Amino acid sequence: MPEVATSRQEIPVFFSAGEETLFGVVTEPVGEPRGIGVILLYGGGYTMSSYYNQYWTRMARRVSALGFHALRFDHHGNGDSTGRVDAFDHRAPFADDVVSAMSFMETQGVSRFLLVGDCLGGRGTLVAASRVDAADGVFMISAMVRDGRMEKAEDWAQKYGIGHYVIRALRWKTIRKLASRDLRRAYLKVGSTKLKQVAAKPARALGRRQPTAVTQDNGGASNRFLEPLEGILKRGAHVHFVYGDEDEERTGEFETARGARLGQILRDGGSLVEVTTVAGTIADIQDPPAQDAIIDEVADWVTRVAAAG
Amino acid sequence: MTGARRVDHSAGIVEEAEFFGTGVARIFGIRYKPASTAPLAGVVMCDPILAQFRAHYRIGTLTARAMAARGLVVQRFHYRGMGNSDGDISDLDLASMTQDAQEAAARLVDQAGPVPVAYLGVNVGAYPAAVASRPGKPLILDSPPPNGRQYFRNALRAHSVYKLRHDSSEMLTADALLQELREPSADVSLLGCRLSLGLYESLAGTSLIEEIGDSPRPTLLLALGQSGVLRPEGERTRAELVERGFPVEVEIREKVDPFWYVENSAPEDQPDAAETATRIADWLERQVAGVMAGSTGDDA
Repeated sequence: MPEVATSRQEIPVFFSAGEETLFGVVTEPVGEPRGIGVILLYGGGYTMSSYYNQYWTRMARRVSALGFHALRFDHHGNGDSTGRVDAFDHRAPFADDVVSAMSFMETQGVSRFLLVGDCLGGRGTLVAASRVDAADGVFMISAMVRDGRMEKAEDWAQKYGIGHYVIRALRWKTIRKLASRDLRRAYLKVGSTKLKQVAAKPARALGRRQPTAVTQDNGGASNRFLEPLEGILKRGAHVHFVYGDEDEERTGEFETARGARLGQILRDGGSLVEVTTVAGTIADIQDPPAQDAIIDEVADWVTRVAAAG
Repeated sequence: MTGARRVDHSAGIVEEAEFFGTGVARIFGIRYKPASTAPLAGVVMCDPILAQFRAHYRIGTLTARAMAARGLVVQRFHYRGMGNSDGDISDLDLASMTQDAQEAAARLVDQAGPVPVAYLGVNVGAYPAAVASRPGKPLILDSPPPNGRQYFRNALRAHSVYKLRHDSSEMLTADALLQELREPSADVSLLGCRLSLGLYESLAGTSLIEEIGDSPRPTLLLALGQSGVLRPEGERTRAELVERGFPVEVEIREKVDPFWYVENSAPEDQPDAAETATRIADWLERQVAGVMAGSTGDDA
């Protein structure tokens, strides 16, 4: 069995996910197929399913050399898929797309699944695994325990005071750009986000709590993270967390949450749960040697989980 | 073809994804074409590399789709050593990028028929596009760096800004980068993207004009400027090409693609993709009607 597969084992595919068509690459097993599909999903941000340093390409080819089918894909609004994405939000982590990816792989001779996701993709795979019993494990790379959100409208709205936006809205250059439907929509989004932020200030001053899925008992962790995690562990699925040893904020949040309900969930999971670290940073721009180490860890984990049945 | 095909009825385009190439290591590519009409011309899209490959990717997808909707057949591909293609970063340099662009052109003609073929180079992708287009092919240069040294200086600056934002004092100069690359066991990266000595040397020692060469061919330059005036580096490129007898048209942009960093705004909200596609399609239509009459992509 070769150490890794190549494009000779790969087939580009388009498959349906609701109204959208997603793009992916299936890597077929090099040796005897295990009948297990490894689904790979990147984290938040506009990107593509191969990623830099061929990270997901290499990971897919590595696990396929171990007898697994692999699928790396673009969720809707990203890479070579159709659709659009306005925000990368842990409250809406593309889980439906992961479920569609699993359905598609069932047509390729796969009946069981192991899911690997990075950051937001980790949340997406976790939520998807909680909906599909055929998912036997989730490998989460630099998983966020709280609900994060990346959106340009929020970045912009936070950047300046409301006066700045009023002056800017009255400029001829801005008014001229309103001819574009897309730009109208973008301006409206920034404006409404700014107004929401302004409105939230007096509410906070009056001591009103903002709606949130986080409670104090959770140590900062979101129920949207804890509940699917607890659910899949209870049904016997395997869970692996990996963090970068230089990602102090991300690791710190995980450790703080571990001091509360997350800790109990992980203890109840017993040997199904693994937590490891790799040298370097993987929470934002990933160190290439850390990527290599994660590929090794994923290859080792899928082999062990498959062997455990 | 062992690949995938998607028909987008609302956009009136077809997308075909596949692996191709004559060597052991194959190239991944996607072809975008009009669904119901014969293509007017072909465009080989040479993407940028390193962090810009990722930062530009979605915009590139939207631009390719928009060009196909305007009647062009577009061949996009991942250089060997990057993306979904075979190979590894140590295989990637200007020569390999150029060879991949030429193979992409051959694939386009093989699949779409004998259409006139132009090369579109985005940022440093302008370098392989420039070399591959030397036999008289129309050339579209989108935000090209004037020379490799400046390209890497910009990359280093972006890398340093990122490091500063993340409370790191690690500063990398061009000299230090080269020194690191010369260490046999070094694992050097810029903004997380691995870089090899071969790639660095093949680009750092050259200039865009040198790679374009002396053979005049229709050229469209999309570059930064304001109020109808190109920035000095773009103007120098334009002037040098005109001096060499190139028929050059210029499209001035007020805003550069983010290129080094991935922005959080939906690329669909940025008008650049549609504007670029329209500009290229209009320009190519004129080339086909005029200068390119009688010249087909058979020898692409």
